[in-house]
Amino acid sequence: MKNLNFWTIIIVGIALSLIPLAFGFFTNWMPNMKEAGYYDTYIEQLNTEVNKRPQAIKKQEEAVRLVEQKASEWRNVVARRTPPKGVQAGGIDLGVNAWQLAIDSRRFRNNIQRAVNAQVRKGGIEVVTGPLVPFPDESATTILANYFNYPAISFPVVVFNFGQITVSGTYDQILANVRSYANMPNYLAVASGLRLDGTSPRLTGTYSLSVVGFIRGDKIFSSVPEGGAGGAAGGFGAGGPGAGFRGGPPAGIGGPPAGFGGPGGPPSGFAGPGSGAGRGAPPAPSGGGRPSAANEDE
Amino acid sequence: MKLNLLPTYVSKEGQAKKAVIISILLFVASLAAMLALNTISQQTLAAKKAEANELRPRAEEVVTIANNADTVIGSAVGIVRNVNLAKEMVKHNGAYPALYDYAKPYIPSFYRVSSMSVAPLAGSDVQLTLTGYLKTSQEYADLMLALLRIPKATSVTRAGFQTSDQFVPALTPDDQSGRPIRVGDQPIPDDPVERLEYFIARGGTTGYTGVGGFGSGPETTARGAMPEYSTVTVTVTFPFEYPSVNPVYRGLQAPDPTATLRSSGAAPSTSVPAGLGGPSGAPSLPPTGVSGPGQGSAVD
Repeated sequence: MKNLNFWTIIIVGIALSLIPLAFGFFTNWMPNMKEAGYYDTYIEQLNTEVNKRPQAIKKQEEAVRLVEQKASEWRNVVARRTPPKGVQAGGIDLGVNAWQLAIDSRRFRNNIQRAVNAQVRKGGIEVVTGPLVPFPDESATTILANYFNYPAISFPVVVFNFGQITVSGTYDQILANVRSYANMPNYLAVASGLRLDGTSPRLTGTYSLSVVGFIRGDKIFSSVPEGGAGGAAGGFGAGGPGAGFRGGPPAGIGGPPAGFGGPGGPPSGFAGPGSGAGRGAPPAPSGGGRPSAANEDE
Repeated sequence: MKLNLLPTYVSKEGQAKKAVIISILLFVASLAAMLALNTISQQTLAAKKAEANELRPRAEEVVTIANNADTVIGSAVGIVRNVNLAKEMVKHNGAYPALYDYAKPYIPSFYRVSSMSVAPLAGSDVQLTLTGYLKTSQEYADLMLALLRIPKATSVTRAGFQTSDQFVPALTPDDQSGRPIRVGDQPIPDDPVERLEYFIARGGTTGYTGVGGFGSGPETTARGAMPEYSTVTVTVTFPFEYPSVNPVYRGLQAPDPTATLRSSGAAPSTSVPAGLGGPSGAPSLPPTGVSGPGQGSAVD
């Protein structure tokens, strides 16, 4: 040792001192500070999100307000532009079994025809070619799908594209007739493609007409086993997923105040299979309370 | 003068001692630095973690709020679609009448219209097609100018005019003066007698012609073109935005209820999967209290 130079010893000392220093730096400081850097980025991102809180709250409030507004508008549509609930009131109840539905649908069809006939005359015109509401299926197994478009559409709805309607009258009468579809009660109607022909004052108006009727209610009877006696699936009333509307227009947030009571009682003298709770339930406060304007007495 | 008479190893030993002490101090210092690096970095990291852990719930809450807004909107998609469909259907009933009322003032009185139709084009553009009756080529020209007065009209087309204007013919041996005639007529002779015979020969009508349905038939019958009138069809393309301020109508695209409603998707199958119903081969009875009307799942 005594033969070593001063600086030699110092250099050796420095070299030895670098070992713990390097150990501390590379094994602790550097990874920890790198991880801390990652956390800085993460914290920055979190802060960004946290700072969005007012916007998020505003967005949520806006969403709720929008939905409430739409729900309110929808309630108005349901109240004025959907068929009444129940056959007696001129509408239809899909909570009955399909065999009964086949009967009720014909009465419903006639009530629709009456409503359309009353509407198409509006404006003082003379109807040259009037719309004919299609007849429902006789088959209990297909009536729901073919006439009420369920389940092809996620809620039952009748849609009629009547094709070309021809009316005759003055210019003002024909235009008033077309405009009047905006106020058709119990149904949504759209007249499009108006064409005017002839010599004034007697003109002929031609337009295409579509009518939509959203069906009120909250229940649909399950499929019936007609023609399927030998089948493997018993099916009838087995609690399939089709036992209720899914996402139907009267449903969801702010669904219509009307039409969410029970179906208003079963047809007289017919309890129906699986008649359990719900049948004959009292109608909602405003449900089914619409006065029967066009009841089919057949 | 001083002389260092000590052996050389005496001074080296002293320097070595100093160097060793310094080296030990350096080593101890580096150990202390190592501990400091460890402690400081861990404390920093822990502080960052703590801050992140504190922020994370708040950030998650914000995300939850934002997602909730999307959920709320998403839950109302069906209603929004149906409301919009209803509004569009109701609104569209006034579109065609509004367009005809809008375009009518621009149709000149000399053009007797027998047919009006309009077709929607892309965007808010529409193409109005008019069929009516005109007499002169001047009216034919003026009609185009009149229809171009429709605001923002981009194009007009016309067809069907049959001119009845007279023209000056070339001279012939019989007609050395070139009297004006109509298309299809023979030159008018100069000789007075021949000219008289010429005009007598042109007069073929002896009674009421009933051209265009005028003067006969029920009043409700449409009238066609009068003599010397042409049936002219014109089209005008223009953007229909009415009223001009805060327009209610933009074009004539009609809502399609069927397509719109079907876009909402189908409901779940109403049929019962095999094996869940009654025993195979037997008409199954409804398990009381399981299904049946009045017990459907709640409307979602």
